[in-house]
Amino acid sequence: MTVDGALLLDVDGLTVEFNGPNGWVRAVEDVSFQVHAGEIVGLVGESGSGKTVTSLGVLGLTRAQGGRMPHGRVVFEGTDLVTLDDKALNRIRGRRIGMVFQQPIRSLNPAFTIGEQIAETIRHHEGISRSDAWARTVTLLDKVHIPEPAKRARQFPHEFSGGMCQRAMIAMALSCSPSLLIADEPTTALDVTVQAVVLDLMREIQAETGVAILFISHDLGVIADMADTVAVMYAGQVVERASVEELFISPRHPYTAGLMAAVPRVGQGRQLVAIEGNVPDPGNYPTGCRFHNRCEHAVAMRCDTDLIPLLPAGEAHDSRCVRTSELMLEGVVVA
Amino acid sequence: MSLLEAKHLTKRFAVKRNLFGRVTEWFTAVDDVSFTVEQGETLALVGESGAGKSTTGRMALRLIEPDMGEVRFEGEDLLALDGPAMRKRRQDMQMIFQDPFSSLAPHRTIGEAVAEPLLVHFGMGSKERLAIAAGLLDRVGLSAAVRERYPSELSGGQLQRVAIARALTLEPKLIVCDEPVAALDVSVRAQVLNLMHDLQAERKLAYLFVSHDLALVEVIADRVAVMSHGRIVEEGPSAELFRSPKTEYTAELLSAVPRPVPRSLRAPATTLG
Amino acid sequence: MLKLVGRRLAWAPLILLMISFFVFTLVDLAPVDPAVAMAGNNPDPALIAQLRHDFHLSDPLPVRYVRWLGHALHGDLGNSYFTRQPVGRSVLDMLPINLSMMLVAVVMILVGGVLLGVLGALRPGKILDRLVTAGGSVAVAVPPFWLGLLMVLYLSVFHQVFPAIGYVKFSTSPWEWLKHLLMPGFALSTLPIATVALQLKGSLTETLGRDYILTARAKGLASKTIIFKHALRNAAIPVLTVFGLQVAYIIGGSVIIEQVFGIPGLGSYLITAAQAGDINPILGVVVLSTMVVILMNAAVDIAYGFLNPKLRA
Repeated sequence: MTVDGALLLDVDGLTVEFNGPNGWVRAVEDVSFQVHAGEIVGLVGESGSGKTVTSLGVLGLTRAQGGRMPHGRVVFEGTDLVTLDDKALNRIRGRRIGMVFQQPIRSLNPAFTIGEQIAETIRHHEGISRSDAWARTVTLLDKVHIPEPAKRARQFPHEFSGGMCQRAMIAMALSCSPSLLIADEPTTALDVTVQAVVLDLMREIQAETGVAILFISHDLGVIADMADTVAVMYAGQVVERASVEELFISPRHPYTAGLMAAVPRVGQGRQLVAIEGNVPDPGNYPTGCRFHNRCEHAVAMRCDTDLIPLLPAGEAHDSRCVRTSELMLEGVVVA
Repeated sequence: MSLLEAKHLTKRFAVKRNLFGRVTEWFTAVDDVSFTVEQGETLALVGESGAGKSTTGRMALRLIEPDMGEVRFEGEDLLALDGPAMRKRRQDMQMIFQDPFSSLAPHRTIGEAVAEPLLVHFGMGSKERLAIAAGLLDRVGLSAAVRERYPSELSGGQLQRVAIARALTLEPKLIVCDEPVAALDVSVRAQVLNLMHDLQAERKLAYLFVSHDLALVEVIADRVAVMSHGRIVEEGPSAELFRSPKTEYTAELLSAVPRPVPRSLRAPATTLG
Repeated sequence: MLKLVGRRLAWAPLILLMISFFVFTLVDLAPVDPAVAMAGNNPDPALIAQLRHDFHLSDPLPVRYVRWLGHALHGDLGNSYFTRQPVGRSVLDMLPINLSMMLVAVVMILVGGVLLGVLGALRPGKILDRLVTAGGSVAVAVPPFWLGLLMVLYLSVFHQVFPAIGYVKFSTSPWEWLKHLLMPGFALSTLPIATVALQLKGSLTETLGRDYILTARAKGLASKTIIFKHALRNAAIPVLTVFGLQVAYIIGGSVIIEQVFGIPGLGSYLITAAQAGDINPILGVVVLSTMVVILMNAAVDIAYGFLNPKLRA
């Protein structure tokens, strides 16, 4: 779909730190991206890239885990969420921004029925009667295609399959008609056929309600399937931003290109294209470009010394690579 | 003669028992499964969670005792072997798991962990053992410094290399790999798979590769057996099975795999079958 | 769930049978001859022989036990050799005293244990957490009778805050009833409070790290709701077992605490009887406490089902 909606979420220079045994560790640094109304923005990266921390940081949920945000703004519907206290954030969490997590079964409280947990959200934010909230809960479960919703609402999470739990989570996240849905690896724990169904459901609901989605995944296939625009994260930073077509046809950052090449493809033979080395841990990031010691295009004195900003690499395309304009990188070959 | 030949493997687990401990309800995890693995080839067992592929992999090594069926390794009936004979046979067959950390003792150095099977099976001396371990660790691409480290100090990719080195100490003919790269990052996954592939070519190793990831299996396996609800629903050479799946289930599974091509750029879906 | 409770309760008669027989044998082995005790200070051998005959004390143990059992099954727990009062009546008269003490102690355990456990779990590793851990470790080591004596000394003798001894019926004056029970209740519940608080702190800390707590935060719920509704209910499950054991501990501990605070409950009755080898009161108290413990366990089982829907099926 085309992006013509108004600016909904503007994350600008977001930095999140956690207190470790050796002082504050920067898990996420200078992360910037935007989400427009009705848009699906993909945030892609490997474990430790900071994508989950970023998504939690948007809602100030990193605080409960001992994190702090020394820099950056998270402007959502005109308000900078970083400046809000928990009480004010609680009026946005679950009401204006819904969230779905990676482990659907574990994300639901085992002691309460599915319906109770959804109705609780509605009643908490809208203060409507118990019976009205329940009626809406059943409607919501129906909307996410849970069969016999009135009966299923009275069941507990352990009576649901993983896919069904994720549908219920989606229903819960959308229960107060938010303008933004944050989905953190929503299908990673699901079987591939169930994943396909849940992704279809999310697309369907997006088209129906116009909710914007910040879609986080490590899986380039899923991102290609879902996103309108993509931000690629590596070692706590956004290293590339572009529309999904741009990104997959002509990536401008060696890490993005490496990631795409590492995806197994038919006809390439048994030898896969690997990125050498390991993903660095927060607190142990190399100086200069954080990818330079794994990068086949790295040049001494240019890539390993200075902090590199996001540089323009085309129309609405940015890359955190000093050699962006010199390199010819290969994207996913489009048949 | 095949290296490994499994015939009619069946495994049931008790779901419900009555007051006297008699089982009143069974769950059949693996239902009449037969396959062969030839020397030096990779057979992939794919399927969704609960399909019975892990149980099948373990039965092939007799880590789980089948309720029915037969496992032959180089023609020898494994299920007929007694304790000592089976232990001796185990040298030829090893296993690596999805989570290498949990299969390594936390207080033992990497070098000792890799050398341990040599002590258990041959009672080899410490010096000799560690020398072999060092050679293997070097072969899987780990630096000498890693030998003195402990499992908690290594990354997931490094640990999986350690697990591979350890599996190689006894020079096995078959390695059952249960989702060996499922927990690894995409960029590291390719390294480990390439290593496994090189070792296979070098040592004529056979892999029984258990995985849920079809995109991966398509690339690395010679032959593929698709499992669903405890049964093999389709089996064949990898290229052929992926090009023209014969069952609806396989076709559905294949079409569900997300391909890294943006939706707007995709060619209209080609018909499968 | 109810099937489970039913199955547990079905064992109750057998448990009661075994315990009563065990206690019967134990008392018989004790070097106290009730006939001698009954005969007074200058026992006449003839009187002793007469008493032995009257009370069938010379019969073999199994015969005596079966006789007791036969009466007990008809609701007659026999009389005390000394007071000649029927045991059943005496025990039922005193039961409210002990239930009152138990009630006060259980309320203290629940309130104190939950409060301290929650406070300790709020910020792991911080000062409150350490205080609860340290305080709990000390409290677990404090003997209840010593604590009771200290309280009597400071709160009754030095400062007349609470009455030192005795018991007032609830129907006479609820306020006095409570005042008389606060100190014994606290002495009894210190160790259980500490045990429950430490267990709950651990369990709650773990629960607060669960995924569904993050979900609850992302829903915009207030911390209070998250802790007391979403976390506590799950964290309480492993603590229940400990709580059930603590209730059994209170029943045992009250025997000594009654002595310290001069409360005329079952404990005092039991001690008097035990010193004289007066078997019927001993058995009466034991049978009654066993039944209370069995019922408490059933209540714990039901609570499990309430907290954990997986067990309800």
